[in-house]
Amino acid sequence: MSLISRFGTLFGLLAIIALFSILSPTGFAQPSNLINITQQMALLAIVALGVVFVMAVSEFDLSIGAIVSMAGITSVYLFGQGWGIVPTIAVTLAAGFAVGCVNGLVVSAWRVPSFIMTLAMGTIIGGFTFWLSAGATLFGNIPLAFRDLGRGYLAGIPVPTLWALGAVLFVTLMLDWTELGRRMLALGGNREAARLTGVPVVPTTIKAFGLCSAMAAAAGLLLTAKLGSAHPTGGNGFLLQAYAAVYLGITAFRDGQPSAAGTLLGTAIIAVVANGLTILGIPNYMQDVLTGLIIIASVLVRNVGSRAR
Amino acid sequence: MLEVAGLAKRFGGVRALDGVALSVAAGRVHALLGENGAGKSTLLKCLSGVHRPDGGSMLLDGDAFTPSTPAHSEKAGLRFVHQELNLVPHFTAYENAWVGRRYPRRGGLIDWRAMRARFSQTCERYGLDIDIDLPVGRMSIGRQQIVEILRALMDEARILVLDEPTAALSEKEAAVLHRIVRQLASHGCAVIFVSHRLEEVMAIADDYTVLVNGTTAGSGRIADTDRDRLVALMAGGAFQARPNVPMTTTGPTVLALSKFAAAPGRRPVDLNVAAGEIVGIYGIVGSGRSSLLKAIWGANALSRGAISIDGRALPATGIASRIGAGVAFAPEDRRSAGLVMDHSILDNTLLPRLTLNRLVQALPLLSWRSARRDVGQLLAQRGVKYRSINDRMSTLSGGNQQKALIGRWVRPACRLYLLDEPTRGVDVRSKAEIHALCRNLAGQGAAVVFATSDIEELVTLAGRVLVMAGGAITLDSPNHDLGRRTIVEAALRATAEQESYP
Repeated sequence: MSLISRFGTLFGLLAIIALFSILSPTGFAQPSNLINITQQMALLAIVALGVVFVMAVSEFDLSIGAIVSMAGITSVYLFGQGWGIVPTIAVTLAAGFAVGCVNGLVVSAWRVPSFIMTLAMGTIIGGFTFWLSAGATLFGNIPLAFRDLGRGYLAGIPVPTLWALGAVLFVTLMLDWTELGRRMLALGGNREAARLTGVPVVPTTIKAFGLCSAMAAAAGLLLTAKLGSAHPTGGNGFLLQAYAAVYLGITAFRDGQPSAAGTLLGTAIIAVVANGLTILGIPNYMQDVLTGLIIIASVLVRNVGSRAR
Repeated sequence: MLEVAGLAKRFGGVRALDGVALSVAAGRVHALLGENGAGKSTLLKCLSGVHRPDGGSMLLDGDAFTPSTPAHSEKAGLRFVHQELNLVPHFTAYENAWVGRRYPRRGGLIDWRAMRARFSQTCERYGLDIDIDLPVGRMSIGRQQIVEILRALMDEARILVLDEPTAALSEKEAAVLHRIVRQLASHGCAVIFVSHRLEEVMAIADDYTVLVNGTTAGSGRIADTDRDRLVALMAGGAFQARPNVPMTTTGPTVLALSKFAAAPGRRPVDLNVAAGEIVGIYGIVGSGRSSLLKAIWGANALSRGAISIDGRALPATGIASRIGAGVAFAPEDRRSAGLVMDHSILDNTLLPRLTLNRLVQALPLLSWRSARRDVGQLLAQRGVKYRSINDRMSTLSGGNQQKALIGRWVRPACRLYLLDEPTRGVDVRSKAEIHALCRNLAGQGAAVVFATSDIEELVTLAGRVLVMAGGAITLDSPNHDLGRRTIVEAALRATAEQESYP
């Protein structure tokens, strides 16, 4: 019982994989497809892992979808202006980081609810992205070397998968092995207690939002590299899926805190369900219904389990 | 009208009420007096049906009165106005008055006109001029308190209980309230009035009952007593000789406050605390002791004045500067302001000492191995009992939580410990351990300043006693031959200037 309540989400993922493997042994269960899933989930994983930072300080960031889109458009726009790869990446990531810092500053220093602040910021950024792209999909002169950052294989592993693994390591390192990460979690656990213990509330919150947005921008860059183009709303769909993944991840472990490993697990569940249902030929809208049901079910199972305790 | 006899109530092993007698007559104002923790709140909660007494009897008009829910008590004609306001800020006065009642209806919909009319009648009956269409959030606290009382008086109240209604009021607002109370009494309503302001009690009450340690220590008519006799009663007859704390030889000044105001409108305070000194601050709730400690810790954004640690001037606010100067702080309410209850014991203990356990000194990376070892040692030294260091903080007993809360700051470099209610809700054994820790810290040359509402703790632990009332220091004395009565007297000293202070 305690094993199930502790690793329930992991068992859930394994059960879903087993189910699809039985239903579609030749399609789903092929190694090539499983590797393909890791590639499909990579960008979502990076966005969701960024969200872990703001969830750690118990805030929300609803601007991440718009930031993914903005990063894509900004990078193609800069390439079109003749910028090189390194400065383009640097400026795009810095822009994402800066947007997050503004969110964090307003939320922590002036106590605007993060829900409202980031919703407004997402809207502003959406407008900016439309203005920059004139509402059209941009193709521009994307250098091939840049495109290789988001596609192809390295030692048999898809490049996006490698980036996602890097993101898992980064977030784990930040949260579990740095003072900043511990302070973020303390702040999220009890703001007043953390403040009175000397956690600098405003800087810590700003950094959490900055890191979250920078990771969303990174995902936007990778999306552009993968597709070879950028659409002004191309990243908006990441918002809800990322939160779904993080919440699934929070239910993954006993202590109920956002974590990198849990978020990876949550992303995997969403990606496996999408992939498996597609292979079984089930239409898209049914996938959405099922994903939603799985999220509700996982939280229900956890709540019932913890009440029994 | 209301007769309470032999009332008893225990919580676990603690006797909150142990034979309380209270006799309240119609048309009279009855003052209920006693220190914090004397049992006043528990008694009121028994009357309101929140708690069920374990023994004794309550009679209302000669019939047994055993309310099992607040609604039950309300039906019997009792009305309670609590010290904290329970109003919806953006509702108007009359909307608030109807919250929790059956709204008047017309054709199934709410009859707004009747709602408004009923409330304005109540206002008129007591001759009160209140803008009943103003959202209460825009009224002064005093006005809100009056709205709260009017709400209780919308229908006929037989007994009105006011729990420290004037604690947050200005003199003028309190005067309005006194008038309402007198008027109610003249209409035949009984009023039970809890207050720490003895001047006020002498002025408006007819009878009094004093509670000490859960028992009735005395009661009678106000006309037959005086202020000094009430203070003596509240201080408790059983005045035990205490071991006199040996005054440690004190060193150089650690903390120096000059014209230091905890918040705008608070009286500026001057205070010097020397190394090796244990200073205890006593005061009733709202006296400003917690606020002062927090301000010294730099946690009040609006504090003003000069503060220095070891002769080095610090900004008036900012926690980081205090940590840098070697100050440690343990807040009053460990659950909501001290610890992250859902996080592990390790995480909680580590939080203020993260920088002590780095992998490499130059980088902000944690070494969990050294952190685990150090935290384990620290908790063992402080006698904190736990199963696993990874268990949630909430699994520990109150005493162990408190030992961890204070102990996590302990390190040789700390110069000043600010401890707010260091032993609240803690068992006797842990209490002794925490006191020993405080003496130990002072013995090693740190200054310790603690706030308490427990006189016993004050006189056993403090080398020097400060008493605060209304934000000002009303007594500053070495803990030699200091009578309990002197302390209570200083804590109740109503500073007339307090109200007019900007």
